[in-house]
Amino acid sequence: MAISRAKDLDITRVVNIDKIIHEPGRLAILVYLSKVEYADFLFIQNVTGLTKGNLSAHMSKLETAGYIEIIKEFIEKKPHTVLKLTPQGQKALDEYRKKISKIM
Amino acid sequence: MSGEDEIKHLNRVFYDRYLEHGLVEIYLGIFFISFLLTYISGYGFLVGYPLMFMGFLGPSLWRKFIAPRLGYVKWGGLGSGKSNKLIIFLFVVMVAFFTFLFILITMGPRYPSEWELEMHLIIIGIVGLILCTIVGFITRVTRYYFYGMVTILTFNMAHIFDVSATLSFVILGIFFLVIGLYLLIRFLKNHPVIELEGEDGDQ
Repeated sequence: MAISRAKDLDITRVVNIDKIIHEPGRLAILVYLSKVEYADFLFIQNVTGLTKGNLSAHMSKLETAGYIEIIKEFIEKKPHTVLKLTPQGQKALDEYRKKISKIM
Repeated sequence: MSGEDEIKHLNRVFYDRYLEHGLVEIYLGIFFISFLLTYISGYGFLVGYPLMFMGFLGPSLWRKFIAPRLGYVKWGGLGSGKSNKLIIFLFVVMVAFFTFLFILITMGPRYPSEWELEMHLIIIGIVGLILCTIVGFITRVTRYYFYGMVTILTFNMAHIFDVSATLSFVILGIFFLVIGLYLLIRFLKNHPVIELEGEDGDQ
């Protein structure tokens, strides 16, 4: 009975979870970006409560993974960074959500 | 509360913050007070100047006061649904219709009827109430319903006490300006500026 339950759970599902998304800060960024069309650095910092350094680090990782698009521009000579969820990021987030709900 | 609900709630909180700065009320206040210009000078087109001025000033005020405090976001869910687009369309059509009607009555070839002259303040009040209600419904900001009530009350009082439409607009303008300034001061106090420079650490 116990072996059968363990098989049902399939531990590989837990192991195969996307490590890029499976971090509270990055997950918060992705979930929030999935609810809006795009948002800038300041807005994401406000909603997630992350520090500038933390947010920058998470953004870089998410961009490298192709989950978010970072658009840099200047408004009145001040840097302005806009974040947008890519279709790949949306897909990864959906898969992550499915896996987590199966495990839980 | 589920994760999805929490996000919706968070969205709601931030969406509300975007509408609590009072700039809209200040614009409305200045616009209505500018009716005094037409009253003093007798030139109706002077109302257009504050509108033009606000059109130019509005975005820079937003960039100066709001963006450095809240950041910028393009909402995906709120205000972008099909039904909301339809309501916005209806709102624009209604404003255009009432403006056209107003021009037709005041400047058209026929002289306004006695009924129109007698009831014009009540009609303006009802139109104001309808427009405020639609704005309140679209933005989901309840204070617009209150503004609608104040508008109809102001014009009803003006009708009862035989106050001119211009003076009623000015009174309403002062009301909006005071509310707007109060909201703006409260907003500036509650949301300090967050420095944008070097935001992603590599600039």
